Amino acid sequence: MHVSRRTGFFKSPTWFLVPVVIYYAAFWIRPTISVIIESFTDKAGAFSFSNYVRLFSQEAIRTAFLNTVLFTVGSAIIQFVLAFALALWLNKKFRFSNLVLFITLIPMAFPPAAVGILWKTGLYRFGWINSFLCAIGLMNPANPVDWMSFRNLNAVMLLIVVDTWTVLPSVMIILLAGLQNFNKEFEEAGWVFGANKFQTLKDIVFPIMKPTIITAMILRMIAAVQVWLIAVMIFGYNVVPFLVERIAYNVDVITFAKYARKDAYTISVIVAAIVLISVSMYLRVSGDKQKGGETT
Amino acid sequence: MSVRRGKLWSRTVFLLILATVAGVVLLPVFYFLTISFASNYEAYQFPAKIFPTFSYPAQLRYNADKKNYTLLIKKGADFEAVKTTSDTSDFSLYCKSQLNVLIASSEVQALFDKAKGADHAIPIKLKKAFFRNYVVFFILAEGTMRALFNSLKAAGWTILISLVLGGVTGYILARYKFRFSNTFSTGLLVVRMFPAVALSLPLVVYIVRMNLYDTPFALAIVYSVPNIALTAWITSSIFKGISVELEEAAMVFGATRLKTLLTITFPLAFPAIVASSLYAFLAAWNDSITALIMTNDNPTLALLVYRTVGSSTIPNLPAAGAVVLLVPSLVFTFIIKNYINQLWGNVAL
Repeated sequence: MHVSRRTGFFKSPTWFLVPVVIYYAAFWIRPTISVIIESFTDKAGAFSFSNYVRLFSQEAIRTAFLNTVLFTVGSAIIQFVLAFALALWLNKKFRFSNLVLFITLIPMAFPPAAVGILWKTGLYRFGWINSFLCAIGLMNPANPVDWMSFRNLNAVMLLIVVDTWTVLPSVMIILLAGLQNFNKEFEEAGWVFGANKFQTLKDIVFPIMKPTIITAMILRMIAAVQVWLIAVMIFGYNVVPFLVERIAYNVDVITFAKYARKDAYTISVIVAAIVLISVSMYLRVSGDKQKGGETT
Repeated sequence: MSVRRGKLWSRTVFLLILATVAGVVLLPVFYFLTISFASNYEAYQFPAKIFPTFSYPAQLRYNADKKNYTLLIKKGADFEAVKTTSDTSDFSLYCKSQLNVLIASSEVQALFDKAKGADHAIPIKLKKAFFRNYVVFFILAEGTMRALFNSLKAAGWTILISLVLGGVTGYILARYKFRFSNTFSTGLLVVRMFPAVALSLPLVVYIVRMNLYDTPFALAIVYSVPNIALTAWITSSIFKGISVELEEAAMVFGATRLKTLLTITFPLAFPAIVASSLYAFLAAWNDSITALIMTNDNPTLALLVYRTVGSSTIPNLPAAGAVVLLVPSLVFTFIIKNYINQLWGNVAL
């Protein structure tokens, strides 16, 4: 009797999801809706596109947009090439390969604030990068380069290098997992038919790995459009504007400026929109992958 | 012969790649650790050292004409004069603030007397207080310990909320099929990747209304949004792996559902629960943008480290803070390394 009442209650387990649904309604859906409304209304509360118009008339925002695109595309390309090469290399089992894998994964564990300081200590005129270059004789100690004086494209490239240092392991680990699930026999079949290493890579490994590669790249994109901390820690505000850097700037520096709030809301809607588009791409790719996995 | 040459060639290339990879990862880390132990004097030295030092090779000279003393520190082949004074407390203060050397005025007096007796510069040994930067940053600087506790509190609340709500969701998703279960799991994936910055901004308004502004708990509310989804996802895949027969067997022997959960299912799912807690911890520990938006006088450690960098010209003190920030992050990331593999490697939902 006692048991049956309990199972009767458990017949509708969806009841246990109510707290989660409430939580998400309150702390995800409600703020999301309110931020969208804020971005599409003017100060008086009437519907208008004025926030977007004002935003894109600002030089700094346009630069931020361009920098974010440059950063995302640049880092995606560099990180993909390096991570794929590294994954192919580490996929060959050799002595100490686990130790090497361990070492390559270290930067992944760095919190963004620690990455910022690590590279700031390196990039200033008397930092460790110049010290190292002097020690191996690539730089004259009397005339060190001031990396932090880099501006525009050079600064973005420098940030891509810094970003690559810390996120390469996480891209690599996804690709490595893909390679480890990869059936060696396909590759061997290619060699049997006389293909060389490059041809097998291009015609066999790449196509099979494609969903994994796209997954890794979309995940990177989602993170890359949200870059801000390393840029601010190394160069400070305003030097290399990014979208999220503009949000932080509006919140942290010009908190009480007339349009600071509205600008911050509007940029965050743009960032969220970019992320959501990436997520829907991710869902399609991972759905395809799942179907592919079922047929084989 | 040519086979052996080819082998030698590939071996060289292999070692070269190995050295590059290890160098690119480890060089910055070593330099960074060294800077966190460097005194202000050392932080200004160029080229910087890759390994930290424990003491200074130094000399003390008595200048008879001016009746004062000069401290010289070895630089390259020569000794460089760094401080000239006749006052013992001034000397001791310089040692403390610039060299991280703790030396009492009475000991300085003894050294002065010795230098006065000799007609040339006498060699002295200045031993560095090795963890001085850490002591200054965490104990002497006001607010750092509080920021550390704020970080821990925010992480603790995040783990609690994520585990309770996410664990229940994971269990339901694994055990029951309901009408919207697919939509629900897709929704969870979207939440997992939603940018925190787009949430924190509008949430501030509600948080202020709830009287929670500037508290670690308010941060945990935001951190939990993606982490509930993540926890649900990790635990549901584990619960799916635990066979229903095992639970049924326990219930056949008269255990209630709750008892079955506690004695059979929960212990089996324990590794996944630990992994998701560590994830939740890392999310809270590493974040800075949400803390920037949602706190004012009660920053988290990550935010404090970020702020001190802005205000100091030589980064040895914030570096010490960053090392402390790094340690739990490093340990936990390596504990959950295999889960990261699963999480992003097998993307099937």
